[in-house]
Amino acid sequence: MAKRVFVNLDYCIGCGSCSAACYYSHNGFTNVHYGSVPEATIPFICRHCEDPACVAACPNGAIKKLDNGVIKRMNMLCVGCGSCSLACPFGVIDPGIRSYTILKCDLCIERLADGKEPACVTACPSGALRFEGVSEVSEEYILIGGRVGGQHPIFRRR
Amino acid sequence: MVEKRSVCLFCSLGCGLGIEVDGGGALGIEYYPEHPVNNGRLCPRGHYALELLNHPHRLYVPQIRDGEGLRKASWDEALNLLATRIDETRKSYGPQSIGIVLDPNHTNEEVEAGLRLAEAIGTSNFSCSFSPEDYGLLKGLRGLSYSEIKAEELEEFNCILVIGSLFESHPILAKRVIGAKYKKRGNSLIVIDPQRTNTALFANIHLENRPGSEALVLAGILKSLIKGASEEAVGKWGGELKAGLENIPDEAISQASGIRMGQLAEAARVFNDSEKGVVILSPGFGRHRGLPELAQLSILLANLSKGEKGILPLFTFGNALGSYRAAPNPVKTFPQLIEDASGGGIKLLLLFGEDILSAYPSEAVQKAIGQVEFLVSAGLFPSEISKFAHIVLPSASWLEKSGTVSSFKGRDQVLEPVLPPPGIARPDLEIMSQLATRLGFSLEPKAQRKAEKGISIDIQGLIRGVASLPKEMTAEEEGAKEEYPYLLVGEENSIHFADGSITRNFGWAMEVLPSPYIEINTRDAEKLGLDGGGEVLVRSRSGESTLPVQITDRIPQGVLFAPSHFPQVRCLYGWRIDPDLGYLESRPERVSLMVRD
Ligand code: SF4
Repeated sequence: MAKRVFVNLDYCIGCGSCSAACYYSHNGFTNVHYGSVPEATIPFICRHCEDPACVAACPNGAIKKLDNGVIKRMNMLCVGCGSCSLACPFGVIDPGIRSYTILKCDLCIERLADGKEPACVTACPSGALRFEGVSEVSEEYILIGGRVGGQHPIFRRR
Repeated sequence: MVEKRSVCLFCSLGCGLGIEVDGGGALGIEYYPEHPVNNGRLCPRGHYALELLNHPHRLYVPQIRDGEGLRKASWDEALNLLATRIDETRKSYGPQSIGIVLDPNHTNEEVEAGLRLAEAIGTSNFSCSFSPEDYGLLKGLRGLSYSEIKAEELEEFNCILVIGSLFESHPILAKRVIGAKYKKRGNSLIVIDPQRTNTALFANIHLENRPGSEALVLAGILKSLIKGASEEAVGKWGGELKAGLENIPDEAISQASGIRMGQLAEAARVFNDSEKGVVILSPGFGRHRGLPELAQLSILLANLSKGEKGILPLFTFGNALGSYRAAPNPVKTFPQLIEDASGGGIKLLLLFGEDILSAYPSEAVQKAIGQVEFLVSAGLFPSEISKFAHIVLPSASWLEKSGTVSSFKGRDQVLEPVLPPPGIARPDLEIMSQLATRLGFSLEPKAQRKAEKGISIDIQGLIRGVASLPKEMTAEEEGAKEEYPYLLVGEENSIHFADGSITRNFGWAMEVLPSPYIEINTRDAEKLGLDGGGEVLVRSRSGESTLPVQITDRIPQGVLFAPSHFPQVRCLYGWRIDPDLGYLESRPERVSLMVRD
């Protein structure tokens, strides 16, 4: 089963390590942005959707779904129209165009090939990011606060 | 492609990391899962190792002042010039007119070599430029025996008491601390901090004290702990401590700290009842006051409560503990040396590492630099101080040299060079020994330094220190309240290191946090008519700066927070030497605000 990066917001401390890890493993461009909503500081990461809107939106076929489920932008085909960035329901594709560099999360394909986890997951100091199979993820990840039952930090951030 | 292992020195945890090296360059960060402290995890600062190794702006060749600018020179030329100037200065002003300052991110060997270099020159003006909060903590712990908890064991603890913003300044511990809390029902996390930090959000007891009153809060906890304990449990310090603490009235504690005695008693009960407990001290610049007292009170708290208890002191600088041990009892501390220099006592100053002008942007330092006739600065990047230096020397970073650093008590980590330094840069140890050769002596390692042991806590001094905290605060507040109604507290983050002069060279850091801001409570912002942002002019007795505003509910009213990693924030903190400590005072600062439109 394809594995994905999951964020357990229960554990996120907003340190930015995931973003830095991505930056330093992708030639100085980060695909993990983190921002603050009033309730929390949360990372924004590509979900590598089952039925991706960015792939459908691309006029030039530059975004492809690979066999292992990774949604990858083919830089040579990209014409820089920004459609994918507009189409993404999670807003995680950086609209900036820089040639020949990966601007969309590629799940650290080389690291995966070496049997390692993506850089952001390995770096995460609090254990909020995990790399797991979609079906293995229990409800605790889907229900915010499931793990800590009502004690969730998000509810107390106000 | 090979993977080389090294250590991060951007805080005192000393996380392990790997660097992929190919030919002469660093290609990427690799994680180091076997390292006991971090298990491969890295905070943003850990990742900077890669950029530090490859940075195009690193100093790579010695430079000598030539009129207004600097010109490139060979090591021979630079060191010969320096040796001649040292000799001349020694002849005309005496050896005491030479000063040497090292920052605490050097290896133990380098600090010892610096000390020996100073001895050989005949000057006692050698010191390390500790951050004020690190120095206070180290001074408090000095010579005392305490049980230090290993960072990797934290997950087994039932009660963790954190002083300061742990996840912000040492994020790597987050997984263990959170893990410990949720491991078993009944485990607890107590946080003493005025800000609702991400650390505090995980706490089940959050003592939102008034800034600077942490030592009093701890004294209150200790007081209620002792009240309930039996005579024999109280042990050897008991009587004296009990009497001393009883002299500090409950009202004084709760008034100055803003926390009811009942809450403190609850915290004391929880900590005492837990099987295994630890006090984590994570002080920050301009955030805490009375650090020696804080350190000693934590030891007492750990010793006097039931079960297996210990403390875990954490520092800003990577080798603060090792540097302090390598050069104990300096004749003059760093601020005293600077004072001496501004009085004209120091004519030749050698600075290794920290850019003191950006770390302590104050009149005292500027005056000292002005008074010094010959200034030498060795560092990683061009800095504020190199604009004034007569010789600028390129240093190797800790990733490019060998040596040992003491991250924790009794545990040394060995550094191995990952890559050679850029250009012809050299490790500071080599610079010092070559300089020594030119001056006609050698820096052979001397016999082992003797460890200080067997000192016990001076209870009366401690109580005096604690008791003076509320009084001082109210007296000063009375005087300053009108003119400076707000209290400015320093805030740490995982993006920048210390004064930020190194980390401001890094790409990701500048993308995320290029400039400082100031946080203000929503109600205060309303009162000032700030809606949603704008800029304010912040003024303290020692400086002023204009900062953009961020409005938040996570801090109390009347208090402002600003990241202490920027000179624009640090200049607001005065250069005040605490006579008891012999070092710069660490404390929140009184400021006033004016809205800029
Ligand atoms: S700064 Fe501290 S916590 Fe972060 S990686 Fe370096 S040693 Fe670890």
